[in-house]
Amino acid sequence: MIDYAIYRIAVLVPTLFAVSLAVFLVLHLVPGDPARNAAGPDAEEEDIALIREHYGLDQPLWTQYGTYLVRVAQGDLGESFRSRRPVLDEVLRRLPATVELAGYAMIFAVILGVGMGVVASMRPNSWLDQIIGALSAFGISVPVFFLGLLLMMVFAARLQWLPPSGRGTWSHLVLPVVTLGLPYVATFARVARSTMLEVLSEDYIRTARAKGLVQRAVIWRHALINAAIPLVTLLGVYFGRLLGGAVIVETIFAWPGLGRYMVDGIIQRDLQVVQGCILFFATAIVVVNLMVDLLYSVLDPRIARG
Amino acid sequence: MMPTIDRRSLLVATALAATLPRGAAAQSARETLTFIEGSDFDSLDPAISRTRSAEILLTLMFQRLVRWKDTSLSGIEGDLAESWTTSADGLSWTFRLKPNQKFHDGTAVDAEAVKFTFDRLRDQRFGSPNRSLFTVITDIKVESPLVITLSTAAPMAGMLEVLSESSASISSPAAIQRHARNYGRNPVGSGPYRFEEWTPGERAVLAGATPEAKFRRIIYRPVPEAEARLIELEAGTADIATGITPEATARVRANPRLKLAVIPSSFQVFFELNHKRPPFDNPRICRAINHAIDHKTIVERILGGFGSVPDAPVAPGVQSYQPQTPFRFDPDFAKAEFAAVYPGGFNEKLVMWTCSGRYLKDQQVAEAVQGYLNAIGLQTEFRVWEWASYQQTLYRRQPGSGTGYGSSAAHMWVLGTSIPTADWRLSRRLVTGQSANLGGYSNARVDALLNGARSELDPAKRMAAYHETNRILWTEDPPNLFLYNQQQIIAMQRGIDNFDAFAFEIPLLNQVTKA
Repeated sequence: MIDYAIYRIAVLVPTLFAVSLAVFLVLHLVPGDPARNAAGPDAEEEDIALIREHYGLDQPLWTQYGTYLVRVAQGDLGESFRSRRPVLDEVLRRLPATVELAGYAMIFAVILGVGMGVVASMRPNSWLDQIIGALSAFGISVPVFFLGLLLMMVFAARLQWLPPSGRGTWSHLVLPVVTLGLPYVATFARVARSTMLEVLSEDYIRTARAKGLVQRAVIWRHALINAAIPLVTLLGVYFGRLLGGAVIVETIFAWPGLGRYMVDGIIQRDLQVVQGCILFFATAIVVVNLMVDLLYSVLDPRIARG
Repeated sequence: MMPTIDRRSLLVATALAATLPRGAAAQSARETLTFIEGSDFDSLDPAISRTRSAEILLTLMFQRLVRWKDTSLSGIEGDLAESWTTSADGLSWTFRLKPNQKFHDGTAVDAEAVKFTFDRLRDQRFGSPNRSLFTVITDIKVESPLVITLSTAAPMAGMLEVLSESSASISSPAAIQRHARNYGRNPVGSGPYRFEEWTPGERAVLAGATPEAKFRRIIYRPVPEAEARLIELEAGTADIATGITPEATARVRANPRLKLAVIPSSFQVFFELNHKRPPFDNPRICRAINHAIDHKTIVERILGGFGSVPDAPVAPGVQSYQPQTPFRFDPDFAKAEFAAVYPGGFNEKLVMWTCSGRYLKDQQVAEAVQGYLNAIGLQTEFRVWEWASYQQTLYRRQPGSGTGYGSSAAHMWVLGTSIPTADWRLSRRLVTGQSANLGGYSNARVDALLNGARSELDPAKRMAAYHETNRILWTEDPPNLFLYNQQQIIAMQRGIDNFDAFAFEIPLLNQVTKA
């Protein structure tokens, strides 16, 4: 188990190296002069030259990448063209808002989704199962920006139960969390239902029932634990998508998180900000996937041994 | 002895207690102004910031030596300065500050603070993105605690305009030294509001600091989605929202609790013409082409009525604006003019470039223009660019391969500008050989007028030169195919009064009142 963990962590280094190179190249090879973009359309040539020099944009690309890599290794993601502040500081400042949003959305999706899936699996093809199936189909297919604005119109503008946007109290959390989490509720419900159905037909479940265990114990202690592996896999895979969704949800609900910081960076063509955010997101996704893999081996020790 | 309380007074007391917090809340709502905008800002350090949204707050927190008198930019008045004089040779400007002025941190607003601010702006190592505006100042001398002299190498008639820029806001030197790199998050000025807090992406709060402040607090919230901004107003959680889409205006008008303000913007969008290549090397053709397109239809049909037909080479709200007669839509005249200059017809393909999504409906307008040009018998080739490569291509000085400064592969390209000061707006684009003169425009009289105005210290004579320039640009030698002027669409609660905004899209929040 420890060897496995060390091996997986060691693989992380070349992965992140590749990510940094890809991000750097993509952002530096797209058309457009970053210094001119940073300076704005009405800037003087002299100002543009100054920015180019200040950020080393006049150096050859590989020199720039080398400098960048050395800095990143030291935990320096560069300085924003616009605010003249260290990107890492700004990222860390906005991180709690994104973690809060994505975390609650994930919890919301897991609890409601798995709950719905389990309930549906207990009475397959019943009317309850049908309703849950229909709700899942809606949750998966509705676009996030549409759902967000719809919820905002109903609960903020019409009913005025919740604030339309911004961050502050728990009531500010409700709409963005529901918007971000709903598609995953649907996915989790579907996967939980099908894996539960599979597990419930296994021999050991029949054995458990034969022992005279009550339904609750059979479901929660025997079936769900064994149905958990595909769900944990999904959790890992969807974490990245959730961050992607957070970019949209944060923009709709004016949520002061990382996703919006990146979008603002893209709009203002603040190269360092975009680069830093993508690298940060990529690292987070890689690390979460590592944690998921390690969690497998806890759930099913055969994985680490194999 | 225990006081005796009868049931009646208890009831009254309870009722009073119940109404109190609500009354207090209503009062604090009246004392707070919540303003929402599409974008967050970069920094609240006037020397570093270059976002318009930050400028809105800088205007409330800071004072400058001088400021614009009104939104039509009719003149400049003292802000921190009480009076000023110019030397006979026009090379030095001496300002006397109003006495007993304090920054919000309690330190004095004196000549040293002004010098500190400008030295920092001009310092190459500090690298302010606004530096080039201030490098014309060659020397700064503190004459006494309240008197300061700024010197320039050549007479600089636009000095007061530069000093009324928001980047020329005077900061507290003590605060800059204390916060160093974090000054952009802890700005200290001397304006009617002082900085209280800023959580990026969430909100910024300013607190009233002088009797001039009408609100206890002004809250600024960046809400990127236009639809969400409107819902904030409908839900009553915001007082004023900018950047309302033309499509949403009907909803604002239908809501009895909201109202709409449509204010001219200094933003004008045009096709810049390539004056180095036929056919636009001939002023007659440049005039003719402005008659070939129906401006009114473009504004009404494509912009949904939210824009105006250009009636001058600059938009209303730009210094030196003077309305002229709009170009009459006369395709036959345009056609005849082309035929007169090119008797055998102009047989080259006109290459038209446009960006997409940068300006209001830019691509759609450009496509409509193509239709009008085809209609007078021209052959056209149309190309849509992504903004970053567009900008890079237009400004690159490299003949032959699709580039700027009159060497462009295109005959005309869409651009827009919102710069409100006459010299900056006109000189850089039109004086022969200037950095932003992408079309290679060259007119000896325009050069003479603009260069002369730059050092003309008599304001009346200087304005006359700009007015004459504008007349030439409109009636004799147009640099552009003019398209439309933008408008600012702002929605607010019905109880908001005295709302106004500069044409360069800076609302004057300090004069707003709330019922």
